[in-house]
Amino acid sequence: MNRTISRAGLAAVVAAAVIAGAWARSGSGTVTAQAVLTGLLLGGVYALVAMGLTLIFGVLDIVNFAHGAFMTLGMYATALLASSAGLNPYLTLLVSVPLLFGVGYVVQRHMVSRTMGGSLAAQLLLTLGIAMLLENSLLLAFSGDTRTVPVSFDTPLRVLGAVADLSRVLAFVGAMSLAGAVWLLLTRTRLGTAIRAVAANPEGASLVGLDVRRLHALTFAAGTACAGAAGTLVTPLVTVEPTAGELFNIIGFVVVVLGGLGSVPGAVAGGLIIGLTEQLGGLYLPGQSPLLVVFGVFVLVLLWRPQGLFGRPA
Amino acid sequence: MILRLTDVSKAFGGLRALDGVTFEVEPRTVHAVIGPNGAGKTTLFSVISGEQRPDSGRIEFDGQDVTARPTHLRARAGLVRTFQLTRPFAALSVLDNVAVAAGAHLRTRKEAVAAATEAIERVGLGAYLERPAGELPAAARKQLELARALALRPKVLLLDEVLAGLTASEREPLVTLLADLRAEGMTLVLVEHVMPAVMRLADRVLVLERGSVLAEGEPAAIARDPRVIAAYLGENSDDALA
Amino acid sequence: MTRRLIVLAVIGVALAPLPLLLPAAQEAVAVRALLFAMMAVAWNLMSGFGGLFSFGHAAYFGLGAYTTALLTIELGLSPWIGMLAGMAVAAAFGALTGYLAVRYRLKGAYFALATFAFAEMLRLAALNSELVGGAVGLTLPVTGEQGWWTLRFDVGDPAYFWVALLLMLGSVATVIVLLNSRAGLNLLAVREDETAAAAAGVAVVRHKIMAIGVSAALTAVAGGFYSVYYLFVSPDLAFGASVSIQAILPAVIGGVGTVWGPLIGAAVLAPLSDMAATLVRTPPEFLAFLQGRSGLDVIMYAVLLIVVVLAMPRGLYGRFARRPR
Repeated sequence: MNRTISRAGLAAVVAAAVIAGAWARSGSGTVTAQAVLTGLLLGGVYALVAMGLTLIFGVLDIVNFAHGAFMTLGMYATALLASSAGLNPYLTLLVSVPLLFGVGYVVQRHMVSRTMGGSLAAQLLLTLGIAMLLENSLLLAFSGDTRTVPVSFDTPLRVLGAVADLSRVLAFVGAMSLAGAVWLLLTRTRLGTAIRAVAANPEGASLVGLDVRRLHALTFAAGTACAGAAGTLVTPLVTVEPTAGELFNIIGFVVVVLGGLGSVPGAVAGGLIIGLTEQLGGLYLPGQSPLLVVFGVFVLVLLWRPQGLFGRPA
Repeated sequence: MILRLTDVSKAFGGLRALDGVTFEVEPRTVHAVIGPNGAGKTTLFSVISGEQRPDSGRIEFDGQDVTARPTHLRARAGLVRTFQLTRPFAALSVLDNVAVAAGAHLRTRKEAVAAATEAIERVGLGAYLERPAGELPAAARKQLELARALALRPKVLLLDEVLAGLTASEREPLVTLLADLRAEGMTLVLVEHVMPAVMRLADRVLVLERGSVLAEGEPAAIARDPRVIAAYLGENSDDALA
Repeated sequence: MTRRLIVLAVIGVALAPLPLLLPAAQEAVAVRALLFAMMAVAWNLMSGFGGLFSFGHAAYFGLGAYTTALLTIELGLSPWIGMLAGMAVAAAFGALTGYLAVRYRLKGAYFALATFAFAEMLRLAALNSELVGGAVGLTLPVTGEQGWWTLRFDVGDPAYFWVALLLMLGSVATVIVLLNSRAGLNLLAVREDETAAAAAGVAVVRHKIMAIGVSAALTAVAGGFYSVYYLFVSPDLAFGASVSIQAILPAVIGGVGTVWGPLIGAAVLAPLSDMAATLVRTPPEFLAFLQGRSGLDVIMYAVLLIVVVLAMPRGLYGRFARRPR
């Protein structure tokens, strides 16, 4: 625990230095503040996406390439309900979360479970196949037409000299609340204890009478529900199209590796760091895609500390 | 001196697997390394063969300091090990398994195959040449380990419990083979639990306990050493010096 | 080895008259199948025989495509020279990034993610680099001297098929010869058990990097041919994640770690996408809703991929032919 705190402290110092550097480079406090605010708000969503990924990795040891597609499914659920039934997009969480929970449960029970203990390649390819299937089914059903879901009561808010739309703030607050809820579920409930027991030692867990197969399915379902919730929360901010989740999947991997595969606090810290990196990176390398910096950080972390900032050395 | 360790230490976290181990091996001799489970025997082999880098100390082989030399170069120079838990290249045939090792010294595949075949026949696996190594029974895997090591033309052969888990009748030809190898001038270092074999083969015995050298000497002297007897009786009777 | 090379020669002879027999539209499908095969054969060398799971073969493909395109457009060089240069560039990139990944002991998922990140970085770099046309990409000249040196022919000319066939045969022959060599045997040993391979005298890192380098070079050939045939490259078409997937799919579906698996996979996949395209263009009555929609081809790939992963992990070749060695 102490180490986690000292790591967080180190990360904060680095972040402060990077922000100062960006300030110096852009020469504008407002621009920097705007980048920091946008980065943190988006980072909250990354954190929720990554939390689902890291939960699935930590418990099932699966690198889930279908996570982004599940998120896209959540976006479509929200977009369709908001446009056809005129629902408030945030209310559709009541649909997208259970829907994706169910999808995740079924997918794990009937497909992923059959590759458990198999080769890494088999699991990677299976989730890749599921992602391709979902994305292209959406493409086939709804064509490539893009949709946007405006929030009727959206309004710009001023925070420390920077401006953020209410919808971004809501996405951040919603993502952080859900991340907190998952954290409480894991640490304060019997189900959470059981899940953590399975993650630590599946054989031991089954010896003490836990239904490991069911817990695996529940965990995958919970992780997928995180993706669905994240999908709903970002729907007002993005263009909804079949491949909209891909980018989040990729960034989710980056966050998860940065935070340490399987580490929930790491996912939150990593999400915020990557959100900041993406926005501030744009200030460092004007004209380049902000993602270039994100991947640069990713490769450095992989090479330098593959267990992540918050993970334990293997 | 063909192999010399000087004050070699290796720790894993808080556990000192090897603690200031010093010993020497004369050419054309058989050294046995014994000790209770967890005494550091396997770590000792890993450090000598190069899979683990020691935290401190020096390893010399054939007159050269090899402490920092990678495993494959030590193997090619003739410092060769086998694994206690056998590690066949499961998808490859027995012949290819051994040809990999034989190829370290030979240019063409044809030569490597010939040398490999010879090594395989020598350990008595001739009937299995084309079988995938993953399908071999346990005893045959041990023989395969040995064949792969022999194909590297070792000067010093480190054998990690080649006899463990074999029946008496399976052991006999291997013990004979080891005696032959020594007669041909090879230096053997064995980690072994099968005590009659150790006593029959070894010129010197090294006793490890908790990573340190407890005793070193001729087998007869070691068998009488009260510290060794105490260490063994304290552990378990399976390992008792018969 | 001789037997495999003979089989390969027979395949080549059997396929050679294909463009004379097929209608032009079908020839395009056949060329795509050969392209698929080239990529999968290369991927299979690194990931199937070498055990280094790559999710970033787009990097090598794109480097081959862009190098060939640039040398053709800017210097007017023959695509053959472009492909050779592309091989060198891709092999160097593969060896460098591979060295980093291997040196820092990236394994399994981490290795795959690193290869993916390298490919994405190239894509993003290409998107924002004016030198290579940015997001617009590069268009190769359509007009000019035709022939085998410039690899410029009329649209639908059987020569395109023959060039692709030659390149594919060359790739497979390279893999066959490599596998039969000492280096190839060592590579298989490294895949099976690194520790044991090192103990058997094999230079583990060097063999991994060799596999990555050769695989990258062969993939670059496919990329080079792509730019010659389609006369257009863009960051997404060259470096996109779907390119990496196209290298993986035929190998996995045909049979990972087998010589013939990638060819079988490519032969199955390419016509499938054509079938899907036809179905969408002129759907039968009961599938009328498909009219003009896209996504069906990838759905077919995805279903095939899922079925193969779940039901026949050794792929079609491993399932229906003799067991891989």
